[in-house]
Amino acid sequence: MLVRCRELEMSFIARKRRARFRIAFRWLAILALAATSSAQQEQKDLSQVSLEELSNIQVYSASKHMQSASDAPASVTVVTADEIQKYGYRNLADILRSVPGFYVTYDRDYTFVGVRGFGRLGDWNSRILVLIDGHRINNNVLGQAMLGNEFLVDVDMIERVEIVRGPSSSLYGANAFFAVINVITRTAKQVKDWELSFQTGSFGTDEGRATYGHQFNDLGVLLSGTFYNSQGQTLFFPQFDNPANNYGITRDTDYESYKHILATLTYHGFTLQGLFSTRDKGVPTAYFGAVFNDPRDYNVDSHQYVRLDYQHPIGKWQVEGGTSYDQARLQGPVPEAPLMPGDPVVLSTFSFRGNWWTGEVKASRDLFERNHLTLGSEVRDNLRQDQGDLLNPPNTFTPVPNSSLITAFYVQDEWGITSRLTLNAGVRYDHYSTFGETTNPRAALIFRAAEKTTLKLLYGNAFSAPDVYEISPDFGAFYDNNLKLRPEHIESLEARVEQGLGQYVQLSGGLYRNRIDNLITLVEIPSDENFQYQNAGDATATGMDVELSGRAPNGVQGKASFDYVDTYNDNSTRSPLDNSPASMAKLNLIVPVIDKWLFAGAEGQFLGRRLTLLGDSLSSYQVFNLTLLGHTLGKHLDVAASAFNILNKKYFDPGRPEDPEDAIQQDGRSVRIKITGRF
Amino acid sequence: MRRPKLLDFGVKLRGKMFLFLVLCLAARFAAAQSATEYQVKAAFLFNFAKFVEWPPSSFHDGSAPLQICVLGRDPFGEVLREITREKTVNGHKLEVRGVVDLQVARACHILFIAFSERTRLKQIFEALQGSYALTVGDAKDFAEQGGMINFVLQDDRVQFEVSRTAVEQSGLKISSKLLAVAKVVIG
Repeated sequence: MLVRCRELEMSFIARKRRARFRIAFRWLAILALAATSSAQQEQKDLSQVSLEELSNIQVYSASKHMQSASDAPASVTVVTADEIQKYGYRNLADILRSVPGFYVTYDRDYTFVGVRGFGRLGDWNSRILVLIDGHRINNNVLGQAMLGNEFLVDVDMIERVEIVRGPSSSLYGANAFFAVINVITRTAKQVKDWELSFQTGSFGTDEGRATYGHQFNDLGVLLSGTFYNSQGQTLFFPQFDNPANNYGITRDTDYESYKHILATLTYHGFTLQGLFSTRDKGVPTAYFGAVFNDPRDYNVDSHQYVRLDYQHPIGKWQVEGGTSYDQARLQGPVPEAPLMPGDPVVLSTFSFRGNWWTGEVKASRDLFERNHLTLGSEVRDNLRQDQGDLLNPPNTFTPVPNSSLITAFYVQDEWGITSRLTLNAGVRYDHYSTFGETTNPRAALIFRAAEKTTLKLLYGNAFSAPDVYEISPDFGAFYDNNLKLRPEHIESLEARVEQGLGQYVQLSGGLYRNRIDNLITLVEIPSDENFQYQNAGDATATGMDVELSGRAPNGVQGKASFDYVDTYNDNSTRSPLDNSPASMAKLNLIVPVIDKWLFAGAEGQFLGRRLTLLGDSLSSYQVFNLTLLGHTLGKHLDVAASAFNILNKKYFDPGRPEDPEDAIQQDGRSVRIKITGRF
Repeated sequence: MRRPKLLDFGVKLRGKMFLFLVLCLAARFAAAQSATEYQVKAAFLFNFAKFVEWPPSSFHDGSAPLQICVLGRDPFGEVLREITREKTVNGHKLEVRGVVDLQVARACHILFIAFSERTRLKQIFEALQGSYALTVGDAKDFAEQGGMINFVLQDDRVQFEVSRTAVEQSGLKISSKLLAVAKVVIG
């Protein structure tokens, strides 16, 4: 034992001097070692165990989700509530940081995600689709998906997150460009009556949650509310390092608070869900030419929706219908820096307002043996999608386009040609009242070559509709309209192998090529020195990934992955893309320290070099997090202690076009204590 | 140039120490009394053989084996064979086999329908009409589509639902002991 630890320590010291990408392979090796040695443990004879005892045995294994993941016509990652708790994830962005191919950028206001070498700075996450229980939450003004603390649901209310890589517009339409993230919330059955949770952590952060869930015969009731407040940090931005701007130091401007309410009622085939979310965030970066170090600069993000779904079989058809109404707001005051010294500071207020109504119907049936057909249609009526300045001058809102209508039809078929070979094909037609129509197909061949070997060949198309914000940006006088803006388009081809190794370990790897046309890009217009969104250029990404994941019966589980991607703009010089790391590696490991009572969850993330908007190079970094989770009082009380960025690594994310900073320093080491009680 | 310090601990935890800690934790394997999902499911299948009564006509003779079959992609590996090895129930030896043909599946006593077959459950149940096969599965709406016993995972534990009507229509008798442990009994 000691010898092994010593060896591992020595290998770590030696490793530091080697090439960066070897780190990932060492992680893979360690995980394989852990998983295989634990798999060799003896099992007791289950045939002698009583029925009651059997139903009380805790199981660790390839669950249904993983099983269905290997049948899925895409590369899929599932993160469960158990992992969320044991790794101490604070929000959806933390979950995505652990997902192969994903990387996260934070500008101390919003959190953005990049996928497989594409993390377009300033795109408001409009190239990924985020769903809550199947309900689209990208808003209709910016196409924005909220991911950080601004995400609409407390992570503790998440049952699992299904992350599907690759274009999926054939099923979901717009925004399903690089990935679809479906967040599935907990049901009344899964919450046993009351749950109270409290946490406190670095930077003056407190959070409280109260949840009630109960299944009354056929009626399921779930109600949860969360409150969060954080004072934030005192920050330093070098470009403001002058006497007029407090030497670049800003205090009391990094504050954040949010409230979430989630209510879900289920009765037979009906689901009624209501969600309320609002967040206030101070803006320390002084974006959009604001006065630096002014605590009045903040923004409010709010989103509410109510949805009603009904599922019922009609003859041989399984029919689902649903309707929903969403309202999203993003607004806040911006103290504008005076043009001439001595002039007063003018407080202007920007505002984005979106209201939309959605109706959907989907029907599926077995057509013949091993053939499953799905038909669907969706109508989305953007009743309001405007933006403007509330105060200066008052209530001017951009008139074009302030509403729009989207209608779509899709068909998808899963056909088991033989017992080993499945074809999954689909196509969706979308009509937009703004730019017209787009049709996006997808096809997947899944071949189960052997009991533990699955081969996949995946082809897909997707589009990203130009958002109102891109067509006619009204964010002060810096932008010009572009009413001819067309959707962006992606075509993707991917080959994957999924191989089971023994009973508990799975190895998967893939090669892919993504081609993007008509990239919507912010371009500076020389004539008036303003900015405009244009379909400027194409880009290509060619990459590979490999992941080893395992779950041993003794509770040890983990995954290690390595991604490499080569991206470039399709121009004569093949210029590199900004915010596009070539390599990344992730390690996740859960170890039961005391069986069933104390768990350690550790993660390490490595992200390669990236370019900023100004073409500077941000150095690669490694961040490590550790969470200890203890269950006490017969699982009625959980206590978790987490340390994030445990090595206090100093690292930077690139700024957006709106930020005056080209690179923004990220959090150093921080800690959190969390207590959850169930009764 | 002044520079505010981010949160700083008195203790400087070095990178290698942290990794060392993680690796040593990984190397430390707590002996756990737990099992994989399909080991538990295999043990349940063995118990179903004990707590369900088949009509004598479903066996060729008193010493004919009780057949436990797996239809579709077998998730059990060797565990189902191991758990039933050398076991007898009411004088019948237990026999495990994989089946592909639905006509062959009609002769099974317990038929586990793997997740890979979830898209054609309706056809399978139609083909099994009039047989004495106890259908067991773990696809999401297995019981709703006409399956008899469905495994569900709850809090990392294997539970099962029983569709009593489906079992009794096929002429099988199910023990009250089994029903008592079932999470949900339909019909």
